[in-house]
This record gives sequence, structure tokens and C-alpha cells, in this order.
Amino acid sequence: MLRILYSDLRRTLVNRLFIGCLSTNIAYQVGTAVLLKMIMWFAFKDNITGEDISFVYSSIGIFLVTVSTLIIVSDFSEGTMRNKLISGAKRSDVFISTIFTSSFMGMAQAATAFVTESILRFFLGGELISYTIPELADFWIILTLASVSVAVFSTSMIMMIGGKKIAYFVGLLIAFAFKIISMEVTDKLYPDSGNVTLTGFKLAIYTFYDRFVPYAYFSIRPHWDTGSYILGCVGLMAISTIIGLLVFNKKELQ
Amino acid sequence: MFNLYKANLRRLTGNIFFIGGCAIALAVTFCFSKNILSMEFLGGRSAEARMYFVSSAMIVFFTLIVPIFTNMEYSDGTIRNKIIAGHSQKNIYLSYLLAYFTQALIMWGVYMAAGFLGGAKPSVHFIMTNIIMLFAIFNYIATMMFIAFRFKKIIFAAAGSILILNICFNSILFGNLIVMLAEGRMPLLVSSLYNISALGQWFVYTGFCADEANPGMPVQILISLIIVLGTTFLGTLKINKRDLA
Repeated sequence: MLRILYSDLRRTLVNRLFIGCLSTNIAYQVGTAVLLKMIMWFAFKDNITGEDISFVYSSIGIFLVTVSTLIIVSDFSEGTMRNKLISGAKRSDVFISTIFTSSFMGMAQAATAFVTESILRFFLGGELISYTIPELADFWIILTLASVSVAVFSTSMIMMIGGKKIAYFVGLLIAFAFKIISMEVTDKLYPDSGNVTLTGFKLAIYTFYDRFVPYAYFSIRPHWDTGSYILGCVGLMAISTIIGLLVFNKKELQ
Repeated sequence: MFNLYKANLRRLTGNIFFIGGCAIALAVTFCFSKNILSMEFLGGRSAEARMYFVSSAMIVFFTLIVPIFTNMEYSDGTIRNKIIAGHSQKNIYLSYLLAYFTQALIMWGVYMAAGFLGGAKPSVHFIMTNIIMLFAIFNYIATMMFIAFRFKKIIFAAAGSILILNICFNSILFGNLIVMLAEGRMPLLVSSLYNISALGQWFVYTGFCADEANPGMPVQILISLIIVLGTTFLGTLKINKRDLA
């Protein structure tokens, strides 16, 4: 198991796609923050807030994390999966090792984003308005966990679908669907004007989605207690690992 | 070129993805226009409006189909066989593009038929908006084709195509913001920017959009044609000299 994990991690670290995703992450944050700073400066003669810089990652996080996990599909298409099994590793070991690798990918994206935004906040001089430093730290812990759980979910989908071409698209399409759902939920639960009009079962479903589904954490600034967020992330990770493990153990490998 | 087109068409229209997609298009469009299935914000709208709203699903469909089937050229190695048979890469590109256009036309036909079955009344405006949608899909397919043919690894094609879908979707949000900030200044420029993305053109006629975002039907068709020609030009630029490995 450790051997497989070691080789998986090593391959991830030198993979061009993964490094490209990390660079995109940095470039996107720097670009957006500088652009925002310029717009605020020239159009409104105002400085940007720390929150503006800090929350840039949430708009691109899901996409980056899901794209990085696509590296795993090549295990199937290039036949590495069979070689791993021939070398004596158990299926569950292979699966768990992949899950760990993808967790690392999610964590690396969030950590890179955190370091970038800290440096940007220092140099561009955005002061925090409505969040304190401990709250921001909380937010980054949640975002890291959410990135990890999105990565684990996407990996589990890939491992279940396996070598088919559609595996490249499933995670990304799910992320896109969740993006639309998140917009609808945010719009209904936190309307710009007036009260919430939802009642009963629908309200419960929307609240559950907002509180416990990690895909929603990227769409709006944190407002629930940290416990709910952690429960949501851990829950998604556990469910996808268990279902993925069950399916992958019975799966036909071509 | 025509032979390649025929071969592609046979492969693309005969497979289970496309037939299943058409069946889903038929069922979903029929259910929406007949008001069997609906969404809350569509309540109280006419059959035509409900039907038109569903048409955006075709854009998501082609986000999947175009990269997957185009990339099989590289993963199965068919492209080299075609080149050995004397075709140029440019012809292969164009034959795929035309085959996808035909596919879109068939699917659009199915969608229209399902709408009429479900009770949509034909009117000039209704037909015209759907023709605009068809051109928007052509514009989208041409963009997808550019990405799918230029990236030989499917992993980049997949990431690129979903990125374009996301950009198209976000451009609606940004477009609405720009329309709001512009407050009626430079109407043609603002509305043209809004209509560059296929989903933007779709959103203009859903009824949720501000009137300022509509540059008029001729301009929309013109934008779509420019994008189709532009991406095809970029996609086939110096493509015959490309290394196929």
C-alpha cells in the first residue's frame, strides 16, 4: 500500500497537468486581485478589502481541483491499473492510495491559494472589514476540507466509471450542475430584498444543501458553524469512499 | 471531403449517445411544453417560452459529444489512416465540423417537433428565436471543435471544453452586470458583447433578460457566423503542417 501511495504521489508531483493547475490557481488569483485593485482605484478612488482578495479562490476552486483529479483517468487508459494489481497490490489498497493522492491534490490547491492570498493581501494592502483573522483562518480550514472532499468525490466517480471516455467529463459536469444549483439555492435562501419565501420541505432541502454539501461552500462566504461544515465535508468523503470501494472491488477492468 | 463527411455522419448519428440524446430531447421538450414537468420560475409562462428554456440543454450535450468523438481520431489512430488515404488534416477538420452541424440540425428538428407536439403555437417570432438558437449552437460547436481538434490529449480537451462552458455561463452573469452598469450607453457594443457566447444568445429570449441585451436578430446571426468562421480559420490555420506523432 505504501509503495503504491509513494508512486502515486510522486507521479502527481511531476505531472504537467497538476503543476499547470497550481500555476493557473496562482495566476488567476494574482490577476483578479490586481484587476480589482485597479478598477477600485481608478473608478471609485477606493482601496480593495481583504475579503475581496481572500475569496477569489472560491470561484475557481472546484474546477481546478476536479481537473487535477483527471490525472487518475490515465491510470485506466494507459493500463497502469492492471499493472498495479499484477504487482500484488490489493484492489482496496489501490483505491485508498488513489483517494489519498487526490486528497493531497485538493489540499495542495487550497494551500497554494492560501499562501497566494496571504502574500497578495500583504502587498496590495487590503484590510479585512467584516471578518477577523481567526474567522478567516476558520474559513480557510473549511475551504481546504471542502477542496479535499470535492477531490475525493470526483476521484471516487472516476474509479467507479473507469476507463470510459465519459470519465473525463463526469466530475466536471457534476461540478457545473452544482454551480447552477448553488446559485439557485443562494438566491432563494438569501434574497437581495425581502424575506425568504420558502417553506416546509423545500426550505429544509435548501438549508441542508447550503449547510452540508461541500459544493455549496464555494459559492457563498461562510455563515454556518464550523461543526456543520466539517460534518458536511467528512460526510461526503466517507460516503464516496465507501461506495467507491464497494463498486471498484467488483469492477471489471479492461 | 464529402466521403469523410459521409463516414463521420454515419458514425456520429448511428451511435447510442446521439440516439439517446435525441430521445431525451424529445421526451424532455415534450414534457416541458406540455407542462408535465416544470420549474418554479417557469410557472405561468407560455408553452413556447417553456420549450425554449429547455433548448440550452443541447449546448451541454455538444460539450460532451464534440470532444469525445473528435478525440477518438487521435486515441484510435484513425486520423493517420485518413491521411494515408490522401485526405488533408484541414479536410478532416471541416468534415467533422459539418457532421456536427448536421447532428445539431437533426437534434434541433427533433426538439422543434417535440415542441409542436407539446402544444407550442408556431409564430414568426417563435420560429425566428429558435433559428437564432440553432445558429448559437453552431457557434458553440465551432468553438468546441477548435478545442477538441487542437488538443490531442483528451484530458486537455475535456478541461478546455468544460472551461468554455463555464465561461459561457459566467458571461451571462457578467453581461447582466455590464448591461446594468452601462445604463443604455453604447447599446450596440454592450449587446454585441453579451451575445458573443452561445448561452448569452439563448438567455436574451428566455424572458429573464433586460431588453438592452438584445442587439436584434440580424446582428446575432452575424455574430454567430463571424465566430464560426473565425474559429474555423484559427482551427485550420497551418494545420496541414502539424506533427501528428
